Amino acid sequence: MRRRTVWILLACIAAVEILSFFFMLTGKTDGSQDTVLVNKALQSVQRDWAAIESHEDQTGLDYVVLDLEGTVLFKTRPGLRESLNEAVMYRDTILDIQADGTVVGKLILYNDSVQAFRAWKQGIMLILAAAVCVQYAVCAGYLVYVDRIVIKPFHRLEGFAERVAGGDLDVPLEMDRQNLFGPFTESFDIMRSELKRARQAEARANGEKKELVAKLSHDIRTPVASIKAVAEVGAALTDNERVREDHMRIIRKADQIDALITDLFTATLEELQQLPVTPQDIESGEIGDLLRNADYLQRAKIPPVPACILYADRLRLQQVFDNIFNNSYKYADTEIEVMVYREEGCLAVSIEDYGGGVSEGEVPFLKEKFRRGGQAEHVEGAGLGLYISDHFMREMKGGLDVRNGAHGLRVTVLIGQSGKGF
Amino acid sequence: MKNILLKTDHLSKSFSSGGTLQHVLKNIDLELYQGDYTVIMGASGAGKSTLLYALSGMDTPSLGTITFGDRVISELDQDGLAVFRRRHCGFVFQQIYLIDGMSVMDNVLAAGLLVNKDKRALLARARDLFAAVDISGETQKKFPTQISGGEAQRVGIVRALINDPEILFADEPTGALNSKTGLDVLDTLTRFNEQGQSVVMVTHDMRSARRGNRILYLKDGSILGECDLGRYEHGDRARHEKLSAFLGEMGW
Repeated sequence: MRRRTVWILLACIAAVEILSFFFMLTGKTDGSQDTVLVNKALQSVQRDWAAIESHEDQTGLDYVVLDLEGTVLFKTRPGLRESLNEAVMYRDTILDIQADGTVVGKLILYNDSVQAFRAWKQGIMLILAAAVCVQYAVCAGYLVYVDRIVIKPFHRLEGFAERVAGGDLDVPLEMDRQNLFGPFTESFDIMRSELKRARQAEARANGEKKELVAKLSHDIRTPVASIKAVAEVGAALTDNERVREDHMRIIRKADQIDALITDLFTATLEELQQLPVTPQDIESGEIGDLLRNADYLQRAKIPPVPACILYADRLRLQQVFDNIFNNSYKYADTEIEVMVYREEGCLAVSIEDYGGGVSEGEVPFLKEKFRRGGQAEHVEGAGLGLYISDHFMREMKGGLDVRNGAHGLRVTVLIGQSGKGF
Repeated sequence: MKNILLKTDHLSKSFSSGGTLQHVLKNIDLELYQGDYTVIMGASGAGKSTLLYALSGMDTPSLGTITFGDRVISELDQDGLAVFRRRHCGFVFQQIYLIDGMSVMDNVLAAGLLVNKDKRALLARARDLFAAVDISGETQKKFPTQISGGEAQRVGIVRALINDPEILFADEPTGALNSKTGLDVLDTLTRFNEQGQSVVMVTHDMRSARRGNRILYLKDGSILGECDLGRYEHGDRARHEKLSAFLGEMGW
């Protein structure tokens, strides 16, 4: 409906423009003068020629009377053209004044048709200019409208799809029914939440499995330790070389079982290494976009980013910022202060909320796997966010610093500058 | 304490190629000092010439700043850069780019007249410079096609110095010359440097690099290391060994 209105409006404006242009090309103003009045003026001048100084105009026309030398003898008002050359140039009517059959002077009748034509043309030009301006405004408005309802939502969807593909399922896609993608947006977000639920279920199952492994390892280690202790005592007490060798073999096998249990327990920690991080050179200007994407609730004012070339993986860096902002939304739910500055060999992005921070005792453990702070008890989460972020930053040859700031928890992301050996 | 002539802060240069951004220079922080003979070395594609062009105002950086004295030249427009180059920089290239239709002297004066309108003073300076590089009066009247490659490069040096620039930039100045004439050109540059002329030279030639007192090694668009060789002295064996060791360390 809106589209049709715009097209009709543009068609009307185009019609006005075409008509104005047509009139401008073909239009003419009536430059002719009233012949009877002209004749009357000439006759009255000829009649009064002997005493032309006392001549009075009775026609209402503008004219000038000259003698044959070009001297002005009479004029109806000032501002009229007073030479024959000028009169010819501006197409004034020039008549001979005769007395007793001989030409004694010239009558110049002022012709204002040129000025009238100019005024008419200016009017048409004004209409044309106004129509072009309106047309421009309509087109610009329509482009803004298209940008708002199609292009921007499309880019948001694109960024969302990239994050989901990269395994970042925490940031919801805000639904906006005003744009063309409204219904798709909702479906996409349902897909994201389903994926997230599945992943959490998987993480829960993995966690339970890990607990079982931990429990089993403890249960197995205790009897193995007993076996080893008994074997050590046996080896120490016996004088028989063969029996001592058997005891020593039992001790070695017990150590081997212990090492295998340790490997089994730590194997799950290696899963993280399977997440690829591929840093490359990027311009620091992109950091502002990543921060704005992460701060989808717009709690922070993103400052200008100092210009430099960074060594980072865009996708993983986005996940790091997403994690930090999400943590702040979940645990502090306050405004967020962001500072970006250059430090020795790196760019530091400091993100601090106003939630009061965590107890000092918890700070050293915040980056550990499955560690959750005291405030996290009633909030959904796996305790992996800062651990994974730290891992990503180290893979990018950067770092992650977590500490209590002046107002709340301050997480500083240190991104290495290319060629600076950070 | 040396005077800083030119300073860069996070100088970076990127080129777009087929939709991909190539970062040729990355975060270069550099200070060039008055009176130094600075040599920029590195493998092909390391960004040596790009750095030289950015430092001399022939190209603008994508990111970062370049400061000359107290003026930030990276913020100048093309006209401003042209004035900066004319007044403060001299250039010696591998290809000499003399104008064939003008005599050797006129080639030099044409560059001088862009800055100085006093033709008499210019003539005097040009003659002094020609004498310093051993170009005779006869040769000064010849056209570029009538002189040898070595002579042409020395004329190029005179043209670069006619406006008394603070820095002389040289991009592989001996690259197109044979061994003997190349040596003459290097001697000429060394002589001017000994008289106080600051020189920045890009080269991948060890013989040329030995002339510098400060060697910068560029790799993948960043300065990987630098070496202080001290003032040049002919036949200094230790200097050669120090440079070789430095380049070996840099993976040359």
